[in-house]
Amino acid sequence: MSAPKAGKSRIDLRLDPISGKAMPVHKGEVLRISQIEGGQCVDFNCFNLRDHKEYMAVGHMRREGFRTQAGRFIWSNPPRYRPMMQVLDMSPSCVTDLLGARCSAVPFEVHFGIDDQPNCQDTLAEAIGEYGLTPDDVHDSLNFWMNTEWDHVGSYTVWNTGKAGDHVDLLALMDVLAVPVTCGSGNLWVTSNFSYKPIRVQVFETSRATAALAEKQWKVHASLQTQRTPKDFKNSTIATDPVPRRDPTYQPDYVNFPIDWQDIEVTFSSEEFQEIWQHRGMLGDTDEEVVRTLFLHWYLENRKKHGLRWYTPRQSHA
Amino acid sequence: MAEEKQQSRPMSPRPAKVIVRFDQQQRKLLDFLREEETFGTEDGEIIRNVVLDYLAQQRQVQSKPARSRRLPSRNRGSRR
Repeated sequence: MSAPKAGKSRIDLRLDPISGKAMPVHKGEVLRISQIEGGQCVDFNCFNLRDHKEYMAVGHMRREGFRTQAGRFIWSNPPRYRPMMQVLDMSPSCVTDLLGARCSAVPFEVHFGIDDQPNCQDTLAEAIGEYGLTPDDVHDSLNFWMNTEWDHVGSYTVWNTGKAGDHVDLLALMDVLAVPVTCGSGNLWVTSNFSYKPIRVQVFETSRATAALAEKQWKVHASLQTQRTPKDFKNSTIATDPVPRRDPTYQPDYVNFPIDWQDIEVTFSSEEFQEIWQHRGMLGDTDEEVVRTLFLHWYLENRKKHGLRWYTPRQSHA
Repeated sequence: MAEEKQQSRPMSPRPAKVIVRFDQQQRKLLDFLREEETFGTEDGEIIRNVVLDYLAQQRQVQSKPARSRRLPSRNRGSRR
């Protein structure tokens, strides 16, 4: 994808270890995060600038793949599930991670007996405190230059591949509070190759090209009926009291409850049925399960829409 | 019992009838496909044709050489 040229730089910061910065990035602006020396993991949080309850949903981004890449979106948490930013450009040696959550102080006390280790939870909390947010508002990070691999047990981090001059460009599709921080665990773990390094952060103003792309992507990817915001919520008042209080008059209204099942008779020839029968055990224990599974596999592969990459059986079975 | 009998004789030359339970959301997919007019008009007909199309697609994929999707191994690190 060819990235549109942004406007002039309005913010240009060096973030020394172990620091971060919360900064508004407005729709159409481009946030650039760069390696100065290379090999530094960067944790990233992102909030809707007008409503911090809408924030980046790393778990849902993970459903599109364990690594994000150029062209992909930073999605917000359901039920909003809207595109907040788009990765416009990314250096090939920037390996991204959606598995590592964010480092915090506790494991360092457990594993190392250190109770004052810099960590991304605390760095992010300090950074967003500038905008009145609290440590509870920190969410899992999208990690740039964090080389995670995985096996049948879980994920693990290997040598950081970041090089000096590497960069990532993120186009804001809504007004966001973007929060890049230098990862705090990289000195004790391989995350940043066992040493801290500074990073550079820039925000480029909106240009005609970036504004047009942001508007286009917003229209395409934020126009669904199911992308709900507080005005659509049954409880539209955001709770601020930390103690949940029961409303005895409350009646839940579950979607499509109860489920309405219908039996459908499907007829196959003997030859067709023999082929279907071979999938018994793999795609279901009964003929009914196998037929339904085959139908839905086809549907997912041939009719899924909107660019969200859901479960794709063919790829996962390859 | 009827289903068990049906499942135990895949080699029978007679057509096989399978009763498939769809909920209302799954039936919406049938409605979408019905509008396309590609796979038929009746629910059972649509399911049958879609399943056969999927099996045909799978045969096509399996006839191509498989590519390894394994990542190269690197120096192992630690879990974060």
